[in-house]
Amino acid sequence: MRLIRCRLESVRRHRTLELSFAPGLTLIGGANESGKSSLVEAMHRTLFLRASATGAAIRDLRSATHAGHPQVEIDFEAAGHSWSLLKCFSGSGGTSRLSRAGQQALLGGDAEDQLAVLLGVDEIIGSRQVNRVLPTRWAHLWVMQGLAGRNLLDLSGEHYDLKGLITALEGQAEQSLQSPMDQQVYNQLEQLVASSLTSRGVKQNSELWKRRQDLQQASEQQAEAQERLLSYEAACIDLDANEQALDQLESTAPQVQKRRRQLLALKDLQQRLAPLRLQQTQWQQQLGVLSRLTQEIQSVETAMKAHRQELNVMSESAETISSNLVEQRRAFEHSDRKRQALEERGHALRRRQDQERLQQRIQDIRRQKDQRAKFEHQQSVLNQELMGLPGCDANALAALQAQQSQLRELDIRLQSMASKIELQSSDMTVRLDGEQLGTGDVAQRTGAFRLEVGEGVNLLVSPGEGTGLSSLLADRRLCQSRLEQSLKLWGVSSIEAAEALLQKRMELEQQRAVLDARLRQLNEQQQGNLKGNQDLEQLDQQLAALRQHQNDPEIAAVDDLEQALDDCRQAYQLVQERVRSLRANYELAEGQQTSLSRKLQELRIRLERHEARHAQQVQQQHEIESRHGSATSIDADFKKLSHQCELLQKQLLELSGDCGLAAGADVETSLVELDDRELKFNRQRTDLNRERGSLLERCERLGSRELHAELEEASNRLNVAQQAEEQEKQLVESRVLLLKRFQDARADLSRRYSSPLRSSINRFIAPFLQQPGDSSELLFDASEGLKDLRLQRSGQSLEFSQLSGGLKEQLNAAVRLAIAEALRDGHDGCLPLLFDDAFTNSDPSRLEAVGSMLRQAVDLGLQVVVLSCDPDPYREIADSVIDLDHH
Amino acid sequence: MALVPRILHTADWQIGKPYRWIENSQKQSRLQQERVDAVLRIAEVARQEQVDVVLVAGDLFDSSTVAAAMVMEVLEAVGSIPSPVVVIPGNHDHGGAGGIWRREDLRRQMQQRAGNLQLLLKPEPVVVAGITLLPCPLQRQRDSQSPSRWLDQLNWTDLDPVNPRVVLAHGSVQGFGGDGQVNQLCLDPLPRDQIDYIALGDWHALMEIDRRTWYSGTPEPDRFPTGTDDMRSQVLVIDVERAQPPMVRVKPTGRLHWHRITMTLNGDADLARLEQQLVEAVGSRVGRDLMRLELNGQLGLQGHLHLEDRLALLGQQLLHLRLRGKLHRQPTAQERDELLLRMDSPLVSTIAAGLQDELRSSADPLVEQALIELHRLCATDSSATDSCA
Repeated sequence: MRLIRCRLESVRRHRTLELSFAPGLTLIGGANESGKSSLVEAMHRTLFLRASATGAAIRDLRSATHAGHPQVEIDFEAAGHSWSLLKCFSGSGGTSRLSRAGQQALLGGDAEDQLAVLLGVDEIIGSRQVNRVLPTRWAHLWVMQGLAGRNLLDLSGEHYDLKGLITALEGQAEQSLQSPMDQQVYNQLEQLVASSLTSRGVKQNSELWKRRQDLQQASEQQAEAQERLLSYEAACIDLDANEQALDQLESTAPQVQKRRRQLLALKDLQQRLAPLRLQQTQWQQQLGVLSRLTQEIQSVETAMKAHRQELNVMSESAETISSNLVEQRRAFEHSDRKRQALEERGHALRRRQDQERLQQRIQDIRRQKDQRAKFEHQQSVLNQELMGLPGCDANALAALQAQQSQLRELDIRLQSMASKIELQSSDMTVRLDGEQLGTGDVAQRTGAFRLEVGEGVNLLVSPGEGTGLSSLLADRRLCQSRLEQSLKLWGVSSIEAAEALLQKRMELEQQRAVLDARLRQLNEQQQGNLKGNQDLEQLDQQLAALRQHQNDPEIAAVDDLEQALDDCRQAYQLVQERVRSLRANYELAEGQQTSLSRKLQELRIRLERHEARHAQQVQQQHEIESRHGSATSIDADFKKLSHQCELLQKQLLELSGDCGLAAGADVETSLVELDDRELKFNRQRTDLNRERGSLLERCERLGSRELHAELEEASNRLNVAQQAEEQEKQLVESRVLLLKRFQDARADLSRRYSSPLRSSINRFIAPFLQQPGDSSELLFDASEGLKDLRLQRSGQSLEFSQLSGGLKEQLNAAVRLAIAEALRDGHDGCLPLLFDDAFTNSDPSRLEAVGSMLRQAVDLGLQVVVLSCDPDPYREIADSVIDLDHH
Repeated sequence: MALVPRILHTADWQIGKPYRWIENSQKQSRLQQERVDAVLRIAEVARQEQVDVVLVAGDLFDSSTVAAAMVMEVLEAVGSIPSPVVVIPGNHDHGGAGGIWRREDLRRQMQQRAGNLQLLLKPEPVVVAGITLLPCPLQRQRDSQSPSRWLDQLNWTDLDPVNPRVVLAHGSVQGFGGDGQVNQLCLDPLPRDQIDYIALGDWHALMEIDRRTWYSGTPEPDRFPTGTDDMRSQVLVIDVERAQPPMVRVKPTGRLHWHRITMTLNGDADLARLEQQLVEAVGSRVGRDLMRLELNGQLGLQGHLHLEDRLALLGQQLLHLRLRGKLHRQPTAQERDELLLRMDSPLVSTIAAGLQDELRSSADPLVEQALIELHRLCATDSSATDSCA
């Protein structure tokens, strides 16, 4: 299809507008508000909207400035012919006319129908579908103002003629990918699956759902039937058990009765036996008491006899002990007196000894006193002597000696420096410093000297070291004077005298030191005894006190005081020892006497007690015998009674054995137990009978139905329902499987559909891509159509929404061109594409590439109409340029 | 009357067996009726053989809940037997509480219609028609003790020395059949020289345990045979004398035929073989056969349709047809080609080929079903197209 000419009348601001389209690229320029969009919308509505349509879409076309209804005429080529379409939008009475050269024009509905066929759409739409359908018409060919950035493939398939596109793409494929038959089978499958399943599971009221319901019902019924049968059988079993229990109960009744009889007989026997046993016990007790009494009396008498004997013996021994005690006391007192006398003597001896010692000591102290006075006198003489000597000591002497040796040293040095003059031979008189020298004389001179030989020769000899000699001489003089001064101090003329003086002083000092030491020793001794004269007085007083005691002449006469004291001491110790042992013996004897008298007392009390008891027992015996007769008569009665008891006991044992009672078991308890048992039996019987009634009723009620048959039927039904459910389930599952296979297979087809379209898009978009790897991506889904348009740029896959505004426009245009290229075969090899301000976001630098893309489309045989407020960039590639501003 | 005592030994009548697994209620009641009619046939045998006593070794009734009408009918039939009929309760109709023999209606009907029926509920010797019977009745459905244990304590010298002695018992013989503990008969310790015949019930097929010990089997079969020697349609007539081996004869009484056929089909050609077997088994009889048909293997889709038609027909002819086995449907080569080589539906061809491949490697029933469904969809589709054309 190709647009040829268009004429508008009374459309918005256009009173009339007529323009022709070039077969290739037509550029329509015009400023804003020049009516470009009015032109596009008028053409779009004329092609796809019925002339009789009403509503906003039509009202919108009306001109506010020009009279008359909007009228549009479009000439185009399609289906191998040239057509002229004229529509006048005058509301519901709007007219349409479609004419073909040389043919009668079609009017109204016929015209619209034919138009639909020519345009390849289902129908030309009326007012009601305007909102929904009109925007989808040729959305893939015509880009309306402001919609250039919208992703075409995000819209539904209607917007880009999906069906037509698939047909066209299939037509281009080498072989048919999917046939109508396939589609039909697929549709059927979809329907079948949808009738059974929803997204949430099994669909209500579907066959599978019904079968599942049946199955559930059958399962419940079967469970119920089984439950019924089981409860019936359980009731039967219970009834059986109940009957058995009752039978058993009945069978035990006679046993119980027999036992009762036996127990009663036993009780009777026991009752008869009891008083006899009591009597027997009583007699046995009396007998026991009597024999015990007799025994006791005998034993008490024996004890009494023994006690009396013992008492006699003990009294005798007590008397002996008493006399012994008096004897011992006497001996003890004698010894003690002796001991006291010895003690007196010891004291006197000791006093005498003390007196003698004191006298001795006083003498010693007096002698020491005298000696000390003598030493002190010597000491004062020595001190006076020492005071007379000069205060010199060894150090001063050493300094004196050092001065002297220094003088000697200086002399030696002077001598060594002196010139030696020896007259070995002379025939003349030789004089030295005026003194004549004989042959063989030797003289020494320090310093210059005069030598005269004969009369005529006079020599002055000066030694080389003249200066040192003089200082040496001065030193010597100083030294000499110092020594002389020191000696004067000492009061002596020579060193030797000084030494002797020092020697004498030292001797004196030594004597004084010895004296000092002896004095010190004496003082110490004195201190060790008593202090001074005061102490001496005390000692004298003590002595006087001692002398005041009257002294036994015998003691005073004792020669060897020590010996006497020792003897006295030994004698005292012996006596003391004796006194001690005597006292111990005495005390022992005294203790024995006390315990013996206590024992005696005890024995007497015991004897009295025995006598009292004996009397009591004898009285008791008499009482018993007076009451019950003698022991022998009681014994005879007892034996008779015992025999009777034994007989009864034997009977009792036999009966107990029959009853199964242990000997001695309580019959009364057994009887109570038996009563209990019988009561329990009766209660059990009542219970069982009651239970039996209800069980019978239950069995009958449950058994009135054919339970076995019902269960079998329910089981069978369950079986059938299970099979039916399984079958249907398998069928549904198999359909799901098939549908899945179809979808998979069709997904596979998608690649085949999308790939030619993709390569076509890539060809158109090529001028905008920078790198060789860049390309578009596209997916095809059988149910959703084309989708997931992406662009691979510099190794990055970008979604449409991530692209820049300019690139969106360009990619959109490329997609449209590719779709148009695919679809054009069904439209005489051409479709008109229209871009109304569709590249407003593209860089001016890119517009050249846009131009070349559009030109490429034109070269392929497509028709392109570009509307722009800035037409200049496109002028170069346009086949025809229309300027609306000048219309 | 015969010269020696003659007994008719039967068991397991199982009157009132519901057969509810048969859907058709008419056929169901026919099967039930046939069990009652079998009693009439037993009466006929008794008459012909002039037996002294008919012994029913348990399970005369199927359960305790048999319909009253059925009870009435069978007692009527028992009444027609010209000899005493001695019955012991079995596990299905035990003598205990809740058992059918306790039912009031039954007791009433017994008096009215079957005066010859003698129910032995106690384990004690009974002399009937000159025969000493030693009954081992079951008092409950499941008894863990051997019903014959009372015989261990029996003083055999107390019994009549001339009368033949017959033990009447119901249950499984130890070491044979049965499921272990319940209702097991312990016959080994019995003094064999003291017993002349042991009439057993419970096992539904004829079986000779030893010369003196027999299971008579059921007089009218009630289930499919387990093998060729599985005899389920007879009673036994025995001449029995004291200290003599019994003379046992088998008398057929069954009317319905129960078949068990197992076959493997490996293609449409085997259908003819099947047909032959069916004809051999059933012939032209109508309404007197039951069949358990187990078919395995695989058939083509078309062959399967043929088989379905045939089985539908057979189902009408038989009282019951029970189908078992796993018969796979796999398109034949031709059928496959029809699907695969369709030029007008490339997608279907691709999918069918895929399914076919899968089916060859594993017999997944789901895949099989899917292939059949696809075949069906295409068939209806083409037929729709054809009809349009």
